[in-house]
Amino acid sequence: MEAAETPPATPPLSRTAVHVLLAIGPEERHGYAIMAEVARITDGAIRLGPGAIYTTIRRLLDDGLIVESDERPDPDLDDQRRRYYRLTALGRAVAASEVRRFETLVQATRPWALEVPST
Amino acid sequence: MTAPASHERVYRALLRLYPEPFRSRFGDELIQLSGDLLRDAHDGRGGGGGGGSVVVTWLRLLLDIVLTAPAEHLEQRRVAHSLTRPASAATRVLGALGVAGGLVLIAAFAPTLPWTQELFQLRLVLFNGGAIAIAAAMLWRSSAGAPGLPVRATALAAILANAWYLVMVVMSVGRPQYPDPDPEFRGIFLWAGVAMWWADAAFGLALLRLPSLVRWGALALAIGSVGAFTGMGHLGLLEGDVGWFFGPASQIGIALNGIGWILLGLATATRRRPAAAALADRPGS
Repeated sequence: MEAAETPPATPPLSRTAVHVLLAIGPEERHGYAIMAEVARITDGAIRLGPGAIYTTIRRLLDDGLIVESDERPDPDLDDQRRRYYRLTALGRAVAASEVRRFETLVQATRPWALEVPST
Repeated sequence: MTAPASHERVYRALLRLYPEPFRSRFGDELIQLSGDLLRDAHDGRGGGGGGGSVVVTWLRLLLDIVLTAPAEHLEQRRVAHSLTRPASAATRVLGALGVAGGLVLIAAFAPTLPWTQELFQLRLVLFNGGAIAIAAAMLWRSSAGAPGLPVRATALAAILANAWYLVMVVMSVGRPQYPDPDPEFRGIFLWAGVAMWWADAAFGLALLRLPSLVRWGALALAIGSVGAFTGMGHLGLLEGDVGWFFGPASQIGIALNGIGWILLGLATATRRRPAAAALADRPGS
């Protein structure tokens, strides 16, 4: 494993922050796309509002987990005012760490957690 | 993708619930995104994960702001707090002296206290000492880059005038008071009092443009000092035709003056300073 992929000790992320981080993923996404992707990857269970999205983006920017992309969309295809965000190397490492944590959790609990209890 | 003007006006007004730095950084994007969601709701789409009618979307937007704005304010305060340090020990002592000076001035209104001559003079010493302490703290703060020339000049005047009056109080210890056996001394004492009240009033006026607690303390000090001045015996205002006015006015003035020093003392003792100033105070820096 590369050193850059090892996330340093950082304060735990909120559930919303993890969702936004995973929603951005390997792409460059703007607020509306992040919002839609969060709804998609959670099967509609999590619907974030603009305030939740941008307060989380502010924190992820401050923590160095995402950066604003310099590139702007084609004006014929999208609104030039939109800002796009992408993960930094640290952000990718933290996202990977979170996914591994989910995997461990699921593997450890799958044998019983998904069973329908008999009454 | 452009939001309707009516939506923008309402949503922009609601954004005032967020701290200004957050608003200026993300305000345009928030307006655009909320406009996208309302457009989706109007068109019957749920592209942003929103869904529901326009009314439901507005309710969600309101709830979203209500839930996230307070947390953002707390975060801004946390960051601001982390960039500052408490007042230095010396500043806290100066502030405490100012509070003590204001308290002993107001204590004169307590009729049950045994106001002997010695206690009266000790009270004035504490009062003048507190005033000098606050003015010195403001002068030091001013030299550290804050309020500017009017505060520096009036703080210096307040220090000198209060020191003059303090010296006169100390020199009056042991002298007979009334009937006045020493008109020359009493005359100088009178001018020391005039200088003290007006220097205090000018100091209060100069501090009025500073924020929060200092402003209220400064207002009380400015009004109170002028009011207290009118009660000086040699002016004869209390015995004149409008004595009914100047009597209570001077008493209220003295009380306000005391309240002013208390507020300024509290503001001085609790004022947080930039982290850089705190680092500069460390040994070896």
